[in-house]
Amino acid sequence: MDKAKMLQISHRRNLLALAAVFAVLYVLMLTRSISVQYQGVIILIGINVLLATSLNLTTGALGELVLGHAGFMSIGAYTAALFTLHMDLPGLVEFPLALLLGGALAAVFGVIIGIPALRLRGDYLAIVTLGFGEIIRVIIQNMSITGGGRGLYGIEEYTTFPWVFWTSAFGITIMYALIFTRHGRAILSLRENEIAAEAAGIPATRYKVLAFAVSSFFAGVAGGLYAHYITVLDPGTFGFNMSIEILVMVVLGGMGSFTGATLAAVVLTLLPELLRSMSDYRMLLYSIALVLMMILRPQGLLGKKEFSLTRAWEQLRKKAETKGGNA
Amino acid sequence: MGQALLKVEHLGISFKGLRALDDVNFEIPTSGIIGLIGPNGAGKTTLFNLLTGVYTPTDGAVILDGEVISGKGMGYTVLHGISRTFQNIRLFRDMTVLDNVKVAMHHKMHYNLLESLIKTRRYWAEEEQADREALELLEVFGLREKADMPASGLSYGQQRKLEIARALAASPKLLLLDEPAAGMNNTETRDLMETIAFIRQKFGIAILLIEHDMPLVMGVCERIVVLDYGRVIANGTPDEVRADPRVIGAYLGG
Repeated sequence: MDKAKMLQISHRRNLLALAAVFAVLYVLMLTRSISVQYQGVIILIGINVLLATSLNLTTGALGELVLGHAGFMSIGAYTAALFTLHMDLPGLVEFPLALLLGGALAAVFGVIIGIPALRLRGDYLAIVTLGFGEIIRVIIQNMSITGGGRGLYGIEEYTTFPWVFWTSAFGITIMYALIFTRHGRAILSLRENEIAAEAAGIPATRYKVLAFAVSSFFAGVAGGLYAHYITVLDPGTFGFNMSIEILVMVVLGGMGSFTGATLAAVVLTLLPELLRSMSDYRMLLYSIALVLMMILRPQGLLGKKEFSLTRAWEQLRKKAETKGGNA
Repeated sequence: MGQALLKVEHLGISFKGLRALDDVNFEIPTSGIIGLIGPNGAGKTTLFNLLTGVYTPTDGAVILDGEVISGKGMGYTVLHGISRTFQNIRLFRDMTVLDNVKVAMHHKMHYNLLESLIKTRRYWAEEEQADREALELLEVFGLREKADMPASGLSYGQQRKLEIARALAASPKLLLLDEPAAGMNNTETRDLMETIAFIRQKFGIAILLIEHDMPLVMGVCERIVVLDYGRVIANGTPDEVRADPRVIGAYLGG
């Protein structure tokens, strides 16, 4: 019944599982069993997972529809890229610094966007975030330091599989752990019923801004990873379409479920690649898959639930036991 | 009855020229049960919103334990000892029953963000303490077995109880109940009357309730304040109020 100990065991198990997934993928990559093309896809999956889970914090857990997540990502991407371009530090030092800086600046903008969120609700806030995403894109397009519309070139290719994997895992762990604390409950209660939450003593302002700050921080970090993977930044990439793509991952995974967002990000990044052989019909099939998904499972892959390795393990064991009993 | 816990003095509020409440005066003694009645639109819910800091009064003040609390916002009022329930139930429907109660204990826990991420000893101590307290409260309302269910899975009567449990979790000195018997049948209402009396006895707090169910109000309240058109037209024991010609005219007769 000792909760702390039980959780410690489950943490250790999760970490082991993560390490195992990492090791398998890494070995397959080193031995070239996974083609170079798919190695790139895996890196993109890692970035998208971080984007989707960070959006899940504001849109899923806090319940505020954000239509400009790509805007936060682009701030992180450009900040990180400009940092490594202008600094002459060894890669192992300047890359993490660049990621942190990109995240921090994105978080500052997240707070700036979070402040109107205190007065605006629902649709109105969604439109503000949409406008924000577009404004950021236009500003980047018209600044000389960002390379303007021509884009930013010559960014070091620092983003490797281990970097992406562990950075994303770290980010998700932090956001996931946050949810099961008094701070996380405060954020969830604001989604469920803001008036009741305030009447229960939840400082709404503080927690909305916190959710926006953490969410945009990790979007910025994901942007930094993206910049150092793709090595060329074009402001057009971070448009409304990309914000929507991330949002689709959150909705498909199940609003508010971090494991769901992770799963959906993997599926939705992989799907267009797997369908590549269909050439022209690729995006059509992708869209049909989405529509079918929403008809058959409108609450998303995992609904509001979280996948738990411990729980899955227990269920498997129970099943095995009953089978053993029958035999 | 002890000395006054809450004093409402010359309280008034106008909305764009509409005088919703005017010169309202009454007191709530420590651990007293007071009823607030009046016809629809008399200003009962407006008064609740003034007491809980949702609105700022145009005139007068609300004084809790000698301190003016009106106009300081919802957060301030909760932290200083006034909790409420809502006329239309407002639960955190997709959160568990236990977490609904724990949300209201937010201000009793003190671990910060960093501690919540690395799960320090203080985190565990405070969370376990909150679990214990929350389960005890749920036990009082017969909801302990439902602790891990989502709140939306409870029956109507249980949802009302959970709302009261959540309000109590903030350790108030005064509990405001906004039509707690709305939508309940006779058995549930009688059950609720017992619960209200029990809460006062167990937690030693004062209760102010808005209610349309006359048998409930007359049965459980020690004093009754009657509002009509934003003014207090009567304030007395159930028997006094029942016999008051103005009350009969405005409420029972009308």
